[in-house]
Amino acid sequence: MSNTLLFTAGSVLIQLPIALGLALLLNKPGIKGRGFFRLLFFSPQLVGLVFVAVLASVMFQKQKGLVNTLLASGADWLRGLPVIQANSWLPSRSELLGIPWLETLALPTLIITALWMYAGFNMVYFLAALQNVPRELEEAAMIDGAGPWKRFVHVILPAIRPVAIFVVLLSVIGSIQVFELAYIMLRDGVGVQDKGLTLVTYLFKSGFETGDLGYATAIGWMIAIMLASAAITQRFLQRREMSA
Amino acid sequence: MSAGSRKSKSATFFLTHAMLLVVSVVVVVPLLYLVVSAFKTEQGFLEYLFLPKGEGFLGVAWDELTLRQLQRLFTSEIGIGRALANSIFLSATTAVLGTLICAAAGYAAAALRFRGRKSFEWLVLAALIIPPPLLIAPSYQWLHTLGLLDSYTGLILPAIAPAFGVYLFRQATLQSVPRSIIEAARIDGAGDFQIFAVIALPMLRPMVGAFIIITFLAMWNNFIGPQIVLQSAEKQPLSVVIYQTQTAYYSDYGLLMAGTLVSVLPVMILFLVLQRDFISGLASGAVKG
Repeated sequence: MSNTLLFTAGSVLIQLPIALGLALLLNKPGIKGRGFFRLLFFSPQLVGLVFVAVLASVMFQKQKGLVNTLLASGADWLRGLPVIQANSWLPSRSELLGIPWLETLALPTLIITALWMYAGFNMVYFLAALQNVPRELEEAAMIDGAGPWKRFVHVILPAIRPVAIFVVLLSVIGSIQVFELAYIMLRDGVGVQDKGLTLVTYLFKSGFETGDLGYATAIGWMIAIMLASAAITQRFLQRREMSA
Repeated sequence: MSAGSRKSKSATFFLTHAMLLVVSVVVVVPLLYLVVSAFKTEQGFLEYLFLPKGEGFLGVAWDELTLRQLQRLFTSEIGIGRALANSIFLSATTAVLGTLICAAAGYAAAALRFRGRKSFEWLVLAALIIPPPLLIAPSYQWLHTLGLLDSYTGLILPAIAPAFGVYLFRQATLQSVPRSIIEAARIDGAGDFQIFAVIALPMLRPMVGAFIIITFLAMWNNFIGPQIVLQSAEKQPLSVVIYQTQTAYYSDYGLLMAGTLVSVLPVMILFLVLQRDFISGLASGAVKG
């Protein structure tokens, strides 16, 4: 339960700003290859949760995994720079190679994997919304002397608000139902199960591994209630906006 | 425009592209890793992060790349060939049936007047808000009662009329099939089915393309469903088989990566064929939402 909520908070709060940032970058006038970047950033979505989970479980290995190896070589390279050489706060190569992603850092690993997979997907929504914001609006604000940050907060954000609320709701709903990533990446023998035990994993395990369908349904209802409250919050926000 | 501001403009231009390239690298590296790992020997996997170093073109030992892993994959007892066939069959059937049924139902809800239309719409909306995890256990019991466990029908049947598909096509019909055209066709003597198939369906084409991808992907990547419904090993699709391979051959990374590559490739190809429809369909849905 708390794992699920932490994962939801973590992935929504980290993923959506990144997705929006990417969309803003891509929406700048005069970007070369916009369609190409959009397709590229979207592509992890195509790989499918099961296969992303398998791939990630190999990449997040200790010692030989891609992630730790890259981190270690990055640190080696930094140590080569004269500025850094003096201070030795950088973790050593063996420390970096031994980062136990799957064993103890279960939630961050899940959040990073979900970030890789879904940031581009959410970006497509944001980009579609941004392209509907009339350029003149932004130009008018620029002439009135609004800086980039002010333009973003007062012009762009209100204009894409409906889509933004929709994307937040979609991500919250999706994150609450996270299953495959946790189930496959953090299985016994691969990682530590209970650190990454999420609600749907729990449902699946009690229903089909322990064989208690009634208990599984009860968990299902709990998830349903959580999702419903997320949806109601969204309606509430939208209504308030209309009356405002 | 002063020279200074032009300079800062080109700096922003450069910076934006640099950031986009960095993100691209982050996106591409895992995919590249997947592809490269599938073509290395077991030794090569442990020795090199990406391509094996050597004397060949670009300092890569191209001759050390092999099809060995793929060969092992298809000859081992994992049964990847059958799983691939299962996945293609399940996903293609669901995508075609699901798209036809949702398009027809959505069109009917938007364009036809019939008894119980209002209650039909309410039913669809109600089904829309039920979260899938809630249905896992009940649908298992239903399939058990109907004797559909361990059959493809049991897996396909619940997936061919998703409420959100009906709703999407209802919205698409309202938006892109003008009433006047439907009425004109009716006056000319066309039947409801004829109007749907000849006039409405071509106008809904972007949504059809997008929905084929959505349903195909959903079934291809479906993991809980096959695990629950299907029991015999030879009926399992790729998602379950790859997962089992991970358990059985845990440290055989080359084999695992080759299997994952085989699973991911067909979907990528389908997407590239239909992608124009997909992104525009997704985008139009997003703006309305």
